[in-house]
Amino acid sequence: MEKVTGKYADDISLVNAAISGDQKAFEEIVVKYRTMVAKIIAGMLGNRTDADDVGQETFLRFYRSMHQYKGDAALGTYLTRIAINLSLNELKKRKSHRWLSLEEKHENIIADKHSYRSHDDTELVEKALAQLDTKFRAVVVLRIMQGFSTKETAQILKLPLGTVLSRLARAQEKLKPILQKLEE
Amino acid sequence: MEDVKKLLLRSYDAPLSEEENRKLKAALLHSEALRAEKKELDNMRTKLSDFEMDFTQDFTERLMQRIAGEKGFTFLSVFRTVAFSGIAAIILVLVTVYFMDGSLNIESLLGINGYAPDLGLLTIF
Repeated sequence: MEKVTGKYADDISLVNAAISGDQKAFEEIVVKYRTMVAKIIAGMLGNRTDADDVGQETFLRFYRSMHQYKGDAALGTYLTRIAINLSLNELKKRKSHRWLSLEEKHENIIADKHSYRSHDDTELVEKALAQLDTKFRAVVVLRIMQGFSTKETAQILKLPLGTVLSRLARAQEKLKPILQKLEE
Repeated sequence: MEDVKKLLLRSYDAPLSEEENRKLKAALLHSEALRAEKKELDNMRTKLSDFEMDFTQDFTERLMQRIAGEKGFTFLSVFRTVAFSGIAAIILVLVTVYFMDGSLNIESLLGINGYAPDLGLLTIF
């Protein structure tokens, strides 16, 4: 196999091995990136059950298209793009299906307030994010939670840098009182 | 105050100019409220960046099974496509032969139905 050098050499070697049929190499990619992908999807969806399904779909999509990966971006960024797009699709699907009636939603909010008395930060963050608009949630997940630079965040979301910065500021202004309320 | 708050928010995600940096530092030094605001933002960002999540334990196993299934499926679907095309071609040939020769006997299938050998050739020998 061709020797690969450069910033993303390890990932490219793994992808090349997986393309040539090495299942272990693909498994290694999954193990390496699963928590990163889980964090992004859970942050976007605010629902652990759906996160698992979207996670499976993310890696399957990557498996089907990995021959297109040329190593011009980090593999993590490539997977992030797939995960974000699939999460946005899932959210759109949910919106059109309107799973919950307004009454059920109200009951859930009351139940949530009670369950967060345990101050479990992970659940707290998950639920706080779920109350943000999707466009604000995406920038928070990528920039603050995942640690991508604002430039990378803009590239992943295909947005101008200024839009990302203004959405980040708005998102934090909105998120602060939500988190405080849930912590009470 | 609102201007400095916006500056504070931006300072986390974009580099500030020297002038903006000076302004923010001075405001932080003199305003208790702004310091509290910064502390709250720091706490919130720490909570967000500390957010940990993983899929269910059997996630990788299930995924690899699906991939193995998908590989099998791909082979099977390619085989099926080839098999169906072959069968369709054979049926087409049989129908054509039947309409041309009115039967499907072995001579028709071999294309020698009604072929009469030239006996004159044999007399040469």
